Amino acid sequence: MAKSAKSIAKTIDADFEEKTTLDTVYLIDGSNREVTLEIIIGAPGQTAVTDIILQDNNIVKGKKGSIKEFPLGTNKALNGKKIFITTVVTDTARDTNNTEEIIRLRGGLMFIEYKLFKIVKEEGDSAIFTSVIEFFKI
Amino acid sequence: MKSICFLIAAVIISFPAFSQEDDTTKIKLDLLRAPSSPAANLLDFAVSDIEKPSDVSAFMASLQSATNSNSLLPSHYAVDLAPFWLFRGKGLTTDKMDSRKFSDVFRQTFVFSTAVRGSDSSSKEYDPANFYSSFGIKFSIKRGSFSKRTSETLDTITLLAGQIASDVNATLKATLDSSSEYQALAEARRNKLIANGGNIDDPEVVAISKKMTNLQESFRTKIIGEKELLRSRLALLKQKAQSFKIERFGFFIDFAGGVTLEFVDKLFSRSNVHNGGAWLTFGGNYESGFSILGLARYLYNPDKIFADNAGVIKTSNISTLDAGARIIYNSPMSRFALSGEGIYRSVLNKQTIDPSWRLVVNAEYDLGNNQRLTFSFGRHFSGTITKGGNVIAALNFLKGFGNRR
Repeated sequence: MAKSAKSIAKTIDADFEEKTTLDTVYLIDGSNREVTLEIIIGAPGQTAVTDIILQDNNIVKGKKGSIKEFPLGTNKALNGKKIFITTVVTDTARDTNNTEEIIRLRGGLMFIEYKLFKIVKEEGDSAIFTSVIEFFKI
Repeated sequence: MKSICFLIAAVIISFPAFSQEDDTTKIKLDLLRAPSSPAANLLDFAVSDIEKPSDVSAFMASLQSATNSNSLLPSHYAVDLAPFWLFRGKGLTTDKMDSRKFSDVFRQTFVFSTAVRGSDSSSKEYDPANFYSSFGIKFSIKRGSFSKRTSETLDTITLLAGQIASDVNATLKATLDSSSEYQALAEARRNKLIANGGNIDDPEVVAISKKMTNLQESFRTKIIGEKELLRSRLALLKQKAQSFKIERFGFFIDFAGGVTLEFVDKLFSRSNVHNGGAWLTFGGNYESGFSILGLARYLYNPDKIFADNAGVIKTSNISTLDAGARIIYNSPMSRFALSGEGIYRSVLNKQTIDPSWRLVVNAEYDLGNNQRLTFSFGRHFSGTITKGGNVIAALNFLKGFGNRR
């Protein structure tokens, strides 16, 4: 059932396109396998804080920087739920104005990676990335 | 009259000025500092000739230029590569830049340097018949922590960004949950996925997701635009982020090392070690005004032997060990500064020159208006005791009396 993550890896590519919003579906099955979430922040030297609401629970509040892979719940338990992710990336790096957020989901029907990206106009500006992902079982 | 006073003062103080021409001006502790690029330093490259690409594209462009579009081996090329930064150090945000874990410090500071010198070298120190290639590494074992000011600014940025993230997330969720338009689109997407067997790449599913994304974005823009508190927090966040600067205080240890290989007649099967070196720098600087610096350097076949100013030793296969330490106290609230400095120098595998050491203590008092009184006392490498004062300070001091008259 579980396929190799790399072999079926899918990237919603937005490397060169500014994108600060995501609204999508993550397909799951009815198993008891855990679905995990990982968030990676760029560019090096930026400052970021993330807030995550899973359905009605504020599961992550004021988390600094990147977030290591952690379980959200089983496929079975997540069916029909939505996750709301808001990340504020502040430009504190002096050599770049690039801000980036990579969201990785594992454990469902496939591994998937979403990229959000923005070049802020001025030094010290912030990019606000918001994502809504619905867990859905066919 | 004033001009005559100046002239007399200048003539008088010019005599002790000669006493300053001792080893303190010729031999600097900084000579023992690790070079910014060990490999390039061992092959005598100027700092401006060292390539320091910050991303893979820049590195490839630099390599292509040095190899004449990949058609030749580079003959005069030096490059410093910081792998972590070259590959954009995914996930390295400011909170991790203050990490004191060795694994974090090592990967964030590790630099690999390499340099090559070929037959077109104009230097007389290198045999045009041979080919020289050097390799070096540099990294921190320990580094200082963020200063109080840096930490406080970062804490404020984090607090404000956290408040904004929390506010936007909760408001956006409430808005989307109560939007009939958004909920209808979500229902349509679910139905389409059931109908097509879960094909999220279906153009109709993609189109619905696009509409939902646009709707979400317009809600978010409205939330930020309408909430005064959010806007004021964003403005303050920008102000704090603009003033953010990384300053470090505390104990640090840096290591650098490298070796140069000489390929005789440009044959890769005939190589020998041309020269090499290892540098250890350690110490600390503290917000109280104390600074401590320690340096140790080992060189194999150095260009110039630190312990042999007269150039007595001519033979090759020389190993030298030099070390030094400096302690400085310069309180930000006080005009008094005290420093001590010691240097040890030796040739390890020749008995021609004995190891020697020097120790100097300096005291300084800032009189204000660019006037300083200084005093130094110490032991010379030869074993004689030296002492002296600051000539420029004395000149300014006399000028002050002249004005009063």
